[in-house]
Amino acid sequence: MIEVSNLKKEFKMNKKYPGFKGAIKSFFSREYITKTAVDNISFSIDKGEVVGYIGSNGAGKSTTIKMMTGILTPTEGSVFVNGIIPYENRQKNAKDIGVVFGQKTQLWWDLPLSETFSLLKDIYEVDDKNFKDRMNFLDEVLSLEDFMLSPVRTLSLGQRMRADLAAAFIHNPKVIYLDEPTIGLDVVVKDNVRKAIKKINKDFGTTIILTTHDLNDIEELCNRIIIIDNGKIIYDGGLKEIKEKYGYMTSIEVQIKTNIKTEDVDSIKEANMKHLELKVIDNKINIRFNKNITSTTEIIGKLMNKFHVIDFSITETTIDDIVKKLYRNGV
Amino acid sequence: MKKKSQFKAYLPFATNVFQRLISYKANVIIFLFGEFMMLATSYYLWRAIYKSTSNTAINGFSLNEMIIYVLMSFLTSLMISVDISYDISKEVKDGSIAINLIKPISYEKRMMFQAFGNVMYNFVVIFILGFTSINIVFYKYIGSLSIANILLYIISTMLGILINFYFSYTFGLLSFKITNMWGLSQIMQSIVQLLSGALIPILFFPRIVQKLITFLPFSSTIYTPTMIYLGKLTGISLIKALSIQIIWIVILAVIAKLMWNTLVKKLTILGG
Repeated sequence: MIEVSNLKKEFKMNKKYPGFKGAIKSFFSREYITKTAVDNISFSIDKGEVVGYIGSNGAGKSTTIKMMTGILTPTEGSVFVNGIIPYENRQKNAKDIGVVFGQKTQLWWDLPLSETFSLLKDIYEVDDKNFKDRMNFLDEVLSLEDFMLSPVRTLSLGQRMRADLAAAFIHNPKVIYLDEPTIGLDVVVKDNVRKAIKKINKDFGTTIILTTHDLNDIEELCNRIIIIDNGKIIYDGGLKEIKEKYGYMTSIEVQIKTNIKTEDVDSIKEANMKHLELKVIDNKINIRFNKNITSTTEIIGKLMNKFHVIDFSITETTIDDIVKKLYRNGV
Repeated sequence: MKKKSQFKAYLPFATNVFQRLISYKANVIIFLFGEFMMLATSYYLWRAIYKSTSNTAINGFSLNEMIIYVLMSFLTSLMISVDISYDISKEVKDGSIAINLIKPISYEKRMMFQAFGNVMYNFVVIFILGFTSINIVFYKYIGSLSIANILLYIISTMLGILINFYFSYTFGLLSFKITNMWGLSQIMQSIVQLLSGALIPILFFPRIVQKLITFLPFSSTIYTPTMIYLGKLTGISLIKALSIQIIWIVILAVIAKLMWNTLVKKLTILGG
């Protein structure tokens, strides 16, 4: 479906020097610095996949998306989307894709929202029946009815984002690129948007590529993630695998009725539990352990036998922690 | 059928610009007032010039003809001047061009329809009233009106609109490479003003310069239609002037295509 191979994008910039004197100097200088935003990346995405494309600010996410949508031409390498080279066949490619740039809107600012949809209907040449069906579907999953007749400039960010998502889907594209679709939204709207994305993927088999800084988006939506840092792919694979590989540390916090002594707790460390990290604060025990060696139930069982446990909670490593770890030292 | 639906897809870009422009009423009034002052200045300037000479005609222009020239070239320049290059450089600067490029529509056609929206606005707000007034003045001064000249003027102005569009569009595409176009476009505006005949008739330039100017696209936008209206271009020279207009449209359209094909690869989308 999408085939990206050895993709590279360099930007040439006039070299800038600091300060006022520097500004004059750079005005006259012909020196350029080349910044490589995307550095030799390759991946392929199948139909119906939901792929999370993540990385820190300036890692090259948006640049890649822009090349896949055909509005930037790569310096080297190639992209194929449905067998089309997007940057050479921009208009043809555009018919089959939908794009949401979280920071920019594609809605007509001064017109009522409904007008935007009828304009898009003409632009994408959607016939009446399909248009009606799709509008009903979108209205159902994104509840657009309430603000359908309001001018776009009066919409709240959450309404606008829902409308933008609907606008990207009006022509039933084969691929949807979502560049930070939940940026700046509150929890409820985020949840709605995620549900809608999920439903679109499920009902229509739309391939979805998503960039985001909100890792909950990833956990809820994606079955595969690609992590990019400094223009290079540092991880490409399933969400479960990465969790197993890097997210094996789990911690348990147990609350006990009476105060406890450290020696009592130490006694639960047996041969296969050497790696346990124990911390005791008043009547709370905090245990960090490797899930691949010891199971949670084993530890809980031991504690229950020994103490009067009032309450306990288990915290697994979040994708957040994993990504932080990956950004820092690569894989 | 295909053509019809295409037209439907682009038409909203024209109506949208029209609606947007017409909603700023105060802007219209202030703009017209400012332009009227400019017009009054050149009117009195030319009167003074004609008073100071013993000739009744300068370069074949009587004072009355000169006044009509000033009015008509002024009206024509208001009618045709659509600054598409500004729209393009704005889109490049704020990055909104990205949104437009992900739609399955031609950028050139879209910009052309936006320009038409602007032309329609100019037509409704300025042209209808201005053109009627000038015809009345013409009738008062000259004593008769030539329907043929009026029709030819309208055709020539429409060609002028296309020349101006393609020129402005091509110029605007430069902003794909040069992000801040302000300085360049200021220089360009002054050159266009001088060479299009908007300030003084091109007949007033030295003969060699005249020849050169007739071969540039600018005189075809304002000077040619105005001279046709005044009945100063007839027979062979009329056909020649109209042909030059058409040739320029073709040349500029080809340049626009070539520029697009090379520059779109160099485009850097800013922001986001």
